[in-house]
Amino acid sequence: MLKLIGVELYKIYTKPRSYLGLLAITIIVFLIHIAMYSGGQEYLDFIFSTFKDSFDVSGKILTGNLIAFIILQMLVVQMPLLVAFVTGDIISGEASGGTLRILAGKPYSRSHIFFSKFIACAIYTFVLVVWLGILAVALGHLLFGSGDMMVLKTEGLVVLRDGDILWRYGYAFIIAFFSLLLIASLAFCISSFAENSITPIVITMGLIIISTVIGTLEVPLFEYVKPILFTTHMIIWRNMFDKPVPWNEILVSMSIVLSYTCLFTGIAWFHFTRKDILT
Amino acid sequence: MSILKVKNLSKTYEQFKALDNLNFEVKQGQIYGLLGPNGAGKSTTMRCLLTLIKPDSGDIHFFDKNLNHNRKEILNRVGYLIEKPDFYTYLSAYNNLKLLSKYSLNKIEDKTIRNLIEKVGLKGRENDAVKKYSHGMKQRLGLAQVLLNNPDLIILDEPNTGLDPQGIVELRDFIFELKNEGKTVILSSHILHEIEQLADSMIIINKGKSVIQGSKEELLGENNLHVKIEIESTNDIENALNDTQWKNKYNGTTNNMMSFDIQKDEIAHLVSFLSDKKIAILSVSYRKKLEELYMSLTQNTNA
Repeated sequence: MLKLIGVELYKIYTKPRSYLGLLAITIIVFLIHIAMYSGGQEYLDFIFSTFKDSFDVSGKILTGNLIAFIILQMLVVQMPLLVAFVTGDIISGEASGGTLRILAGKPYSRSHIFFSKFIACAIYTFVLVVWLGILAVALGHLLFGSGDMMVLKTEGLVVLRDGDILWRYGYAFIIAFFSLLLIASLAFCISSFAENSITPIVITMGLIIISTVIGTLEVPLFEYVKPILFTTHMIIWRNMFDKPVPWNEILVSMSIVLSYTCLFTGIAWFHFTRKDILT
Repeated sequence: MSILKVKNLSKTYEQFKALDNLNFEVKQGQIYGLLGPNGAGKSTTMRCLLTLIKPDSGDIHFFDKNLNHNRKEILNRVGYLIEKPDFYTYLSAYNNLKLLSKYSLNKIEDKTIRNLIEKVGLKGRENDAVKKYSHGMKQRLGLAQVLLNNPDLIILDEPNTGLDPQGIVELRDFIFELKNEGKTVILSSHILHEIEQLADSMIIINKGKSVIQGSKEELLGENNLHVKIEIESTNDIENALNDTQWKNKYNGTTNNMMSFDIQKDEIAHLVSFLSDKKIAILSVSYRKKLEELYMSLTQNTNA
């Protein structure tokens, strides 16, 4: 199994498209850094202007910690796209390329092939998250320095002390990883049914957008659906910056995220191990 | 010794019956030809052998072992090339082989890969990305891939598709070489002439069923020839044959063409008999070529 995981990782990391994700993250993060470096203070002044009457804000608001928080918002749309770009192709790309029929007739079982691919996808997703973390937190601190962090949330303004932030990012990135693993499993699931590379990426992104829109709209009908939407729980990392941290809420959301991951992976496995390979 | 036994293999795709109780057997060291028109079930058969397709019913035994229960062990002894040679086009030929060697249960040395590259004539181009390869070069790489795990049985589905005449000759020599090394080869091809030259035994399938099978000697030898005799007039033909030894060997007359299944040394006797009966003979021909056998059998079953 380890040998096959190594093979799948080798395929991912020798494929040019795999680097597009890393490159895109690098470009987006650098752009955000540059934008915030040049005009971030004005932007924040505008954001916090509504609180001027209630609070007396002194000191530096634009810190590396806040920049990392802003960058983490990418998790909602951009990061899923980058994850789906590779994981959505991992089975369907081989089906359309004809290499799946070479692999499926080899002595290793389809389950071995399937899980080696899935684990390789998980590792790739982890690398993307780590890369995002390094760029967001480390580069943010390098450019903007450390400091207390003010987070504007729907419920109000949360102020976190400098020494109380880094561990929250640690957990936030772990949660982000599992959220993106859910996306990877969704793309992977669709990939096991599709026979071209584009369909799984398009369907995955379509589902994310639909689910996000439903989750955002304040319509009574949708209120019943929101708790079961996976996108509702993918943004639970934000709660790591609440005071106190709502652990129970986070654990419930993570359980739902993991349940979805298992469901999508299970469906994909069931289909992949039984399907006729005709391509 | 039988290396492959296929019993009552059936597969249906929705309403289409791709395989219908197919039976055949391949002996060790043979080159076995699988023939049939498009959609006859050749590729489905080969895919079933490799577990790419799950048959609805039937048994497949390789090396006297059931494929379902001994898949891992069996497929480690099988090399195959199904349809066109597809690879990871962004990788070099060497890296493709290196990568695919990891799917074998045996440890495949780097030296083996280098030797195979040389054997198929890709030395010097092994570090080029496969996307730069011509079809012929990909086919060579496909053959190298087939031999990676030093298989006992090799399955080749239409291996000469898209090859130029030189490539076809080289492929033929390559397959003979495999046979001389003691390997068993199952080969499907549309080029009947190739199968005729290569195969020791063959099966013709149509609509998922075996139409005929046997050794080349049995199918194309001088026994059981399909003889056609063109006559001037068909009057009283049936009466002339009644109560003679030819009656049971007579298949009928179409467009002044009488048809018999007889042995080669009987032809002269038959011609003599017909002459005695005052039947004017315009021509005598007998089938010998695989193409004729193939056409007659597949057309009959298509009718």
